[in-house]
Amino acid sequence: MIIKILVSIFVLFAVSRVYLRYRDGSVRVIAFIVWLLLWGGIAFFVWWPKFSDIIASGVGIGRGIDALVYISIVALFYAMFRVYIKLEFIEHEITSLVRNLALSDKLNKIKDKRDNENEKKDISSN
Amino acid sequence: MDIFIVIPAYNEEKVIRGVLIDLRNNFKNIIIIDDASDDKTVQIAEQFDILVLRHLINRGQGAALKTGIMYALNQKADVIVTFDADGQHHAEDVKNLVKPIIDGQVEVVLGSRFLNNDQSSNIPVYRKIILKLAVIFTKFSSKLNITDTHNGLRALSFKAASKIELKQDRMAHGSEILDEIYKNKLSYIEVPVNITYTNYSMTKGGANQNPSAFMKILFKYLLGRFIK
Repeated sequence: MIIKILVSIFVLFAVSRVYLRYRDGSVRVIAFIVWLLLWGGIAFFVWWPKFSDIIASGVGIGRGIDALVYISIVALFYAMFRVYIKLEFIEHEITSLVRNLALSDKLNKIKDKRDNENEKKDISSN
Repeated sequence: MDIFIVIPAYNEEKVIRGVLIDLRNNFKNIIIIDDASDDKTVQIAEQFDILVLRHLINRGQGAALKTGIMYALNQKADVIVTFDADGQHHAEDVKNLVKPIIDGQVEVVLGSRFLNNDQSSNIPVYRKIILKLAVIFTKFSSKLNITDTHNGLRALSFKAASKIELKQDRMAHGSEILDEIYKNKLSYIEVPVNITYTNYSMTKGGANQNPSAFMKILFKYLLGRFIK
């Protein structure tokens, strides 16, 4: 019983966070609905674990809780993979930003120097 | 023939002066890419009449190398030489390194510490084992048959440098360059070079520094190939 209440409180907390993010526009409608379904599903199975047994026997796994754990692990691994790819991508973006700053800084300095020299020439020729 | 020496440097204040004095006497175009060092590397490098490019934040040796190569390509370099900042390479080796490219024989010249017999006996045992494993690994992964896969001293022709695409920011770029040589069917040759092992250079040097660094780089490299 205690676990049910604890999980429910956490789900309410998580949903409130998702809602706040949705309200300030940093989470899109689709993502908001997916998160709601996910947390709602967790709350649902905590209160009525029998339903997970029905699903589990449907896919050939003995206990409902086992099925939930299997699915969760697969989903987590996939999510981690996505995050990793995203992170690599961001790292590359940062690198090319840093590189272009380094290059443009130097190329601009060379250009400024050349412009200054040309100006001096113009002034002296006048 | 414009030869550009590209030197990625990160916290090398103790040795960079020696490296630059050695090179400055022989070469005109030297580019240091400071990878956001915390020490006086930049101040020391700026005392020499060379180009210093600065990364605002640390992005790794592969990234710094690519910045330097891109600059050199922009300046229409005929030959681009990559050179380590930690003092293990020697300026006199560069002449032998660039010769096959200037003569038009090959597109890529790789320095090898194992072609020189007196040299290979100086290499610390642990490094030797790792480097030999890397040779075997390279035979399978990059399909190149070479004696020293992780030598920072290389020379690239303009054509080779513009074809080689470096995506690995950190240390795994060593293997990546070899992959790219094979992929782009660039002609290559190895020439013997000397490597000086000092206590200082032993604390640097990526994969052959210790087993965990080695595993980390291997993982990055394989993952990079996997998601490419």
